[in-house]
Amino acid sequence: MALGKIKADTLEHSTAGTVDTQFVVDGSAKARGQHAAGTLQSGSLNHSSITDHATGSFSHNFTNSFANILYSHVGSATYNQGSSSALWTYMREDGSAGDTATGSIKVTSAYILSSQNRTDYDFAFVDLICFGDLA
Amino acid sequence: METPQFQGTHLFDRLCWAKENLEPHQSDYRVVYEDKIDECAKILVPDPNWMACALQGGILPPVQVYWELAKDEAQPDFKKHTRGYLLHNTEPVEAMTEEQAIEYLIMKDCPQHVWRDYDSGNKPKMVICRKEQLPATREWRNAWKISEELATDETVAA
Repeated sequence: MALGKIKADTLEHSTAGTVDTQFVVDGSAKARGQHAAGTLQSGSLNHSSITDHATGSFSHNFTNSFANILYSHVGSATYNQGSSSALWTYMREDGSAGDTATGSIKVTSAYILSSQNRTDYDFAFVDLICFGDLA
Repeated sequence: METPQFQGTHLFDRLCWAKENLEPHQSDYRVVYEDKIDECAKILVPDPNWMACALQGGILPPVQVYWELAKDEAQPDFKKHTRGYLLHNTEPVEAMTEEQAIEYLIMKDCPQHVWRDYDSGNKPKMVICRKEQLPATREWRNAWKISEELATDETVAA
C-alpha cells in the first residue's frame, strides 16, 4: 500500500523530553472547514458538504463521523474593517445539543453590538475546527 | 493516480491521503431543499476535497454505512458509536460521475424524509441546480423558496 507508516508510542527529543504519541493523535484537528456563505474552500478536511440553512446558519457535514457528540469545536468569523461590532462569533447554534450529531454540527455566525442583541450575519469567511475521537 | 487498496484503512487516513494527492474539485451543483414548511429553502454545497474522493473512487464507504450509523445514533440509549468499523472495513465505492456523487451526497447529508419522496407533493421539495441558478445575492436569503414554476434554464430559488 502507498501509505507509509511509522508506529511508535513515544516521541523523544534529544533534550526536551518525551511525549506520548497518543497526545499527538488526540491533539490533532479531526475536521476543518473554512467557507464563504456555504462554499467550502479547498483547505477543508473531513467534510462532505455544508448545509446553508439561512442567514448565518450552517451545518458542517463530516465524512468520518465522530465517535460521540462530545467533540470540541472552535469557530471564528472574519472581522469587518470599520465595523462597530463588539463581538462576532461562529459557534454551535444556541448551545442546543440537538443540533450536534456525530456526523454534523449546526453553527451560527453572528455579531453583537453594545446596543443590540445578537444578529445572524453572513461574514466573508468563517472557520470551524473540531477535535475529538472519531468513529 | 491509482487509489491504494483502502479497504480496512481508517477512513480519516484515506481522507488525509486524498488531500495530499488529489486536486480538489469545486462543484457547480447545488441541492436546494425544503424540509419544514415555515422555513426557507436549504442549500447543500459539496466539499471540493470530498468531491475529489468521489470522482477518484476507492476511498468513500457506501452511503448505506452512514444510514446504519444514523440508526445507531437514533437509539435513546446511544452514547458512542460501536460500529465505526463499518466506515473503515466496508469495501469502498468505485469512481462516480459528478452527478452520481451529488446523488450519494443527497442520500448522506439531506434528511431522508426530504429525498425519499421529494416529488410527491404539490411541488418538488428538492431540486438539483447549478449555483448560477441561485439568487445572485443573499440579501433576501431567509425568504428563499423553491420556485413554484420550475424550469431547468431559470432561477430555481427566489
